Formats: sequence, C-alpha cells, structure tokens
Amino acid sequence: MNKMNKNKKIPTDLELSLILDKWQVEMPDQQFFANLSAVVQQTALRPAKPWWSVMLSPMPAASFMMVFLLAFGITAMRNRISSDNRISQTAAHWASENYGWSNIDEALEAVAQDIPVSQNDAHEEYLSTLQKGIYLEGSDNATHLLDDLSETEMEYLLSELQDIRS
Amino acid sequence: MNAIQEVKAGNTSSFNEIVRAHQQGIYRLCYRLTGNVEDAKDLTQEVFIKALKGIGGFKGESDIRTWLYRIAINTGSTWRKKNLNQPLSFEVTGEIADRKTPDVLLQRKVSEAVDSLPYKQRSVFVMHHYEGYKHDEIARITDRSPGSVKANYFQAVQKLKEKLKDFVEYQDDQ
Repeated sequence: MNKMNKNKKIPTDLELSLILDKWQVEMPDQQFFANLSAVVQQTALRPAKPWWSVMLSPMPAASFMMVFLLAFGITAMRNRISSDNRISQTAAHWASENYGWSNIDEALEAVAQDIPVSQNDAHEEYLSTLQKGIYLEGSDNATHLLDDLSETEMEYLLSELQDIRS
Repeated sequence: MNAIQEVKAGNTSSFNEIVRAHQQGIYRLCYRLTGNVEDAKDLTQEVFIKALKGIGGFKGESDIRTWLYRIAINTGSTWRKKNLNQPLSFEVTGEIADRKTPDVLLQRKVSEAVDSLPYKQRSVFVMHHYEGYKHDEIARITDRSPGSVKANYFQAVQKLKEKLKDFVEYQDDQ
C-alpha cells in the first residue's frame, strides 16, 4: 500500500469509475428476500391502533409534549421577532428539523471564536458559515431565504438568535 | 389486469409480485444510501410498506420502478436526517470479508467517500453511477430540474476524485 502515497494525482473519469466499481453491494441472507413480501403485507395491513391507545402510550405522549414545547418555543420566538415576517420565517426555518439548533450554535461559536473583526465582516462570515451548514443539510429553500435578507435584517436576526440561545 | 390494478382493486396479495420483481434493486439502492446491510434491510422493508400503503395514490404516470425509487430516495433522506450525527457504520461481512484482500480497504474508502457527500449529491450519484439512471430520469424521480441533478452529479464526482486520488496508482496495480 506504500505505493499509494507516492504519486497522488486526480483520477480521470475512467480511473474513478474503476475505483468506485470496487464497492460491491453486500447482499443480505436469502431468508430476507424470501420473507420480505410476507413481512410487508403483515406490517402494512396491520389494523391501526385506536387513537386513545396511541395517545396513552409513553413515546407519543413524550412526542406530543415535545411538539407542544416546540410550538410554544417557536410562537415565543415569532412574537419576539414579529416586526418582520421574512425574518421570523427564516428563524423558524433555522429552528426546524431541516436545520437544527446544533448547527446554529456551531455557527455562532465559530463567529465568536474566529472573527473578532468589524461587525459587517462578522455578518458576512456568519452568513457564509450558515450557508455552508445549510448546503451540507441540502436545504435550498433556506439559502433563498437568507439571500432575501438585507444586511440590517440579518444583523437584527443574529442578535435575536443570540439572545434566545444565551 | 396487471399487479398494480389488482392491488388497487383490493387484492393485496398481488403486491407480492411487485416486491419480488423489485426487491433486489431497491435493496441495492438502499445499501448504497446507508452503507450497511442492517440499515439497508430496514429501509427496503420500509419502502415496500410505504408503497403498499400508498399504492392508491400511484397514478401510473411513471413506471412502478421509478415510483418505488422515489419512495426509496425520500425514505433514505429521512433516515439520513435521523442518523446525521451517528458515526459511519460501514461493514464488510460474509463472502467479501473472507477474501481478506486489499479490496476490502478500497471498498471501505469508497463507501466512506460516498457517505461523506451531502444526501442530494449522494443519491444522484448512486442512481446515475451504480443504478444507470440518466439525469433526466433522476430529475423525474427526485422531482427536481435536470440542471440541478447534473450540478449535483458534477459536484459529487469532483469531491470523489479528490477523496480517492490516493488510490489511483493502487488501482493501476490491480
């Protein structure tokens, strides 16, 4: 394998294709395919549980509580940022499952640690970091929402988000 | 009356025919999207369960394979979001692991490289390179523009070339 490190060149399309074709699919045991149609029928056609049993089971109850808290949180956040609808939409999107607070926190941390420059530069860097996160998440809509924000709106939104998370 | 019409008419056992015809193809796609057997099995099962539950909404505007692939890609996207923070679970087991050749390392590297792509790029790349779909077909499956699909594929190829450049000479030696 030492030879691999001697000469690193970007592979051609053909070379890449040959390398990629080394990745073989590991097939499951034959029993899986033999039973699949029966398992699918059994699961898909299982009668739905009555609504009250779903409500009373522990996991959905926790989920309902989470949804309630999330809704309450987003409503509170929307109230705080109600002065501009586009801003609240963007913030709600960031807080949604598609983007996630962890990525926002990471971006805020990156801004706080690495960019002690002028405020305008910080905004650009912060926006760039967020866009990278959104790009990795593959959410095109969020990118458009960000594009539509003016610098002033972005500044306001960032300060609001930082207040909420602090 | 074909299998789809029979299922829609209430004869759900005809769905077995659809499962048998497409189970290996859907499994292969799920394996490339998840990188391991157990998750691929779960995902495959979920795809067919969703398909059976939702077959009433299948209008026949595309062929059944395209429709099943769309369900697989969407289900894979949900799976990916749930497992975003989990470490790679790539595994080499069974016959391939028994060979104990350097190919096992290369397989791992390729899997890791493909896994590192954002989901949209990964799914487009897998469908085009491994499943042989054309860009416009992928665009129909994923409900996106052909230009966007081409861009995703191009970006995926560039990233994979960069990530796998160490293995060019190794490949030449094989």
